Amino acid sequence: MNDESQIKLQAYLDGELPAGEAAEVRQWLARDAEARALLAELQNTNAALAGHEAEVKLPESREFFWSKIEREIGRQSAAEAPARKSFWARWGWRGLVPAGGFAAVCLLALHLANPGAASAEFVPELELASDDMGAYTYRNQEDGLTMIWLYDRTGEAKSGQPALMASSTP
Amino acid sequence: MKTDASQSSANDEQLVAAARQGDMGAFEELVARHRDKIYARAFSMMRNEDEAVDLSQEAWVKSWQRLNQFQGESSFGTWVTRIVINLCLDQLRKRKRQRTESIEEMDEESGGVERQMPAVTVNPTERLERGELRKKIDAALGHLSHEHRTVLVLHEFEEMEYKEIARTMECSIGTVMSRLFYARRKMAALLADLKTEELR
Amino acid sequence: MMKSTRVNGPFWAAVLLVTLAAAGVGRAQDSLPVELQLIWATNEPKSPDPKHKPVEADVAKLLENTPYRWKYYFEVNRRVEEVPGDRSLEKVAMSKHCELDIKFLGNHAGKDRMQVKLYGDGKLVSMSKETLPLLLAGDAKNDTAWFVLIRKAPPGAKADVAKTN
Repeated sequence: MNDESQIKLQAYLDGELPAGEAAEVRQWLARDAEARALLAELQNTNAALAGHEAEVKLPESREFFWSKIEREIGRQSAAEAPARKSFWARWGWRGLVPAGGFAAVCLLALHLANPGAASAEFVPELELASDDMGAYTYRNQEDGLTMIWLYDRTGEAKSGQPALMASSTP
Repeated sequence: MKTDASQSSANDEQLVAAARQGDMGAFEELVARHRDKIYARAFSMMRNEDEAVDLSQEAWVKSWQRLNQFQGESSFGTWVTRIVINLCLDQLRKRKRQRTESIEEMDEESGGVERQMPAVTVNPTERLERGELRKKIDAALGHLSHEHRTVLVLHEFEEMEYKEIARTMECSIGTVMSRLFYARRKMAALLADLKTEELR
Repeated sequence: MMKSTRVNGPFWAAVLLVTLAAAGVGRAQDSLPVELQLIWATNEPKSPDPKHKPVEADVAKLLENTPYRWKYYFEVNRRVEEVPGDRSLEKVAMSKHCELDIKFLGNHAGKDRMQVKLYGDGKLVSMSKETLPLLLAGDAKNDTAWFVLIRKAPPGAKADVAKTN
């Protein structure tokens, strides 16, 4: 039996042959014991596989697996938005120095005019040193915790960031 | 993330509709329902737990991003399965580009000795309890190359036709048929406990 | 006849400085004792470093309430520092890769505020001004993560090392 015949036999079993060719294969099977034996083997293998795929379960808890998905969805959504940059970051760190003197005088003027103004509501600030970095801020009202999650916006999370941990252990 | 009782009783269609509106709780319920199936498919293709977890996670993230593309032509679970299959194939292709194909693998590609092997007459399902058979099948699948295992998984477990497999695997229908034939014959030999080099 | 006196630039600078000082700008804030913890998050039950121990229960509880969770959290380093208000406490080493510059910004509406500069391998990563407790975090290799927890030191905790800038 040549290769082409064997493949045709398989296609017949899988219902992938046009009607005319399928009829030819049936006639061939009727007269060829070797072909019938091969077909039986293929049918047995099919039957063995059908419905007997190993039942495997994802080896992580529902909450844990979901927390990773949720995080990645959030990270990718944020990566599509323009990076948040404060006004000062656009000036760069050194730009703060000459501006600082003028700002101090303005603050003083405000303070002297209205002593309460300088203790106005505290506004959190975050500045990132690189355009490749991004950050999420989460606030938990219950325990008052603020979490700032820093990530590599280029997606090369493990290699792009300055190392804060050596390899996989600190 | 806590899901309420109404989400647990909602069907997939309702959950998908809610998820499309941004309801992460509904999407989380969908993940919970189908996560094992998606993971199992990834594992059957990659044969590595960590990779399978990562790829199924990636599949879920992609399915969230593409929710508006799901038209309901197949079930939601099947749709996500297709996503993870494509991710697995991408990963396998990337890996293949990085390594040199061995002589054994090239021989396997053409069918090798299995083409000439006489038909196996023993029915592998006889005398075996279902759990045992599952284990044997799983072990035998582990002996196949990625290409042969993939074509077998897509045909036998995903019930894809040759044309669809060829499109998914980015190869010709002839290659699909050839690989499938080889994979089936190899499985027959393995399941029948024949003593060959590959079984040791 | 009155003699006119010309007043020069440095004189006005001095006046400005005195005025600023009188207005309270630049006045030293009280210092604050702060606890700093470097934490490593992993899904493996043991850390390769036997010196690492699981975080304490109150810290574990804080970490549980964050959006991203791992199975295990190990305390890599913990220090208590007296953080001044008039200048930064510089180069507080949490590990050989991680350093902090921290400055106390005072208490606002009952919440302590801190300025924190985070350095990785000597490079500035971020500067934040936030209320305490504060958690800075990010990915590490092999699906692990690092956390730096900054919170007011518990009563009775003593500063580890007297820092001089």
